[in-house]
Amino acid sequence: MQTVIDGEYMVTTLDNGTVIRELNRPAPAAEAPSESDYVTRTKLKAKYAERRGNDALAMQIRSRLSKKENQNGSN
Amino acid sequence: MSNIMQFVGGVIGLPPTAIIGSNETASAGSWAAGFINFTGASNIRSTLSGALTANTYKEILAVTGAGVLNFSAVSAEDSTARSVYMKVLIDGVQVIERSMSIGAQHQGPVVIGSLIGDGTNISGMTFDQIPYSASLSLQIKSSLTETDKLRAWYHYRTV
Repeated sequence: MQTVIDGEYMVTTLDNGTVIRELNRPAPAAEAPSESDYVTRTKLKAKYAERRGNDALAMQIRSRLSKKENQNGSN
Repeated sequence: MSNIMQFVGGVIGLPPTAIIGSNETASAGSWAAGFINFTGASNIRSTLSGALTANTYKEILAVTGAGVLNFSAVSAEDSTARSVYMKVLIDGVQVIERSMSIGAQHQGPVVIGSLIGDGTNISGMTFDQIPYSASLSLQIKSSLTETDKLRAWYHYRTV
């Protein structure tokens, strides 16, 4: 196996002749979703539930979020 | 590179001529727009895009040889509104292209394989087994000119 760098690509030639040319910009492991991600996603989730006509679920999701936000606020 | 598997299908099956995946018109906020936010523990390889020119494909991975593609996806690193695209070429033939209008960090389409979740949280993922006999190419594109704001995810093997 042989690896060479070609600009921003890493080119690896395996012993069986396979050539792998791969962009070499590894990113750090993705972080866990932040609190604001959670809020955004939960709000979206409520909106989609509403769009599907499931108002009860939307209300439940919003109430859960609001409870969590209150808890965080009081901490 | 030619090999006998290219002609008989071999132990990994015949390469596809087309892959038919989701037919949803995915957009920001739709259920088809998954949040792709793996950790290193997921065993999915990823790379940032480097410099992208608006509406121009850039090759992320090119394999010359035979193997199997298990998973591929593309996602955004920030919440800028944009369209993202990924296409897969097997043995020089485009077998699938998927695009999505997104507007949230970690949003993007899964192109090969799938994610299991409730639309906001991923609880699992599946691998597909897409064979290639002579070559594999994964390419991504953004509607914007930008650097390192898209991330490609993939898992493959060679034989």
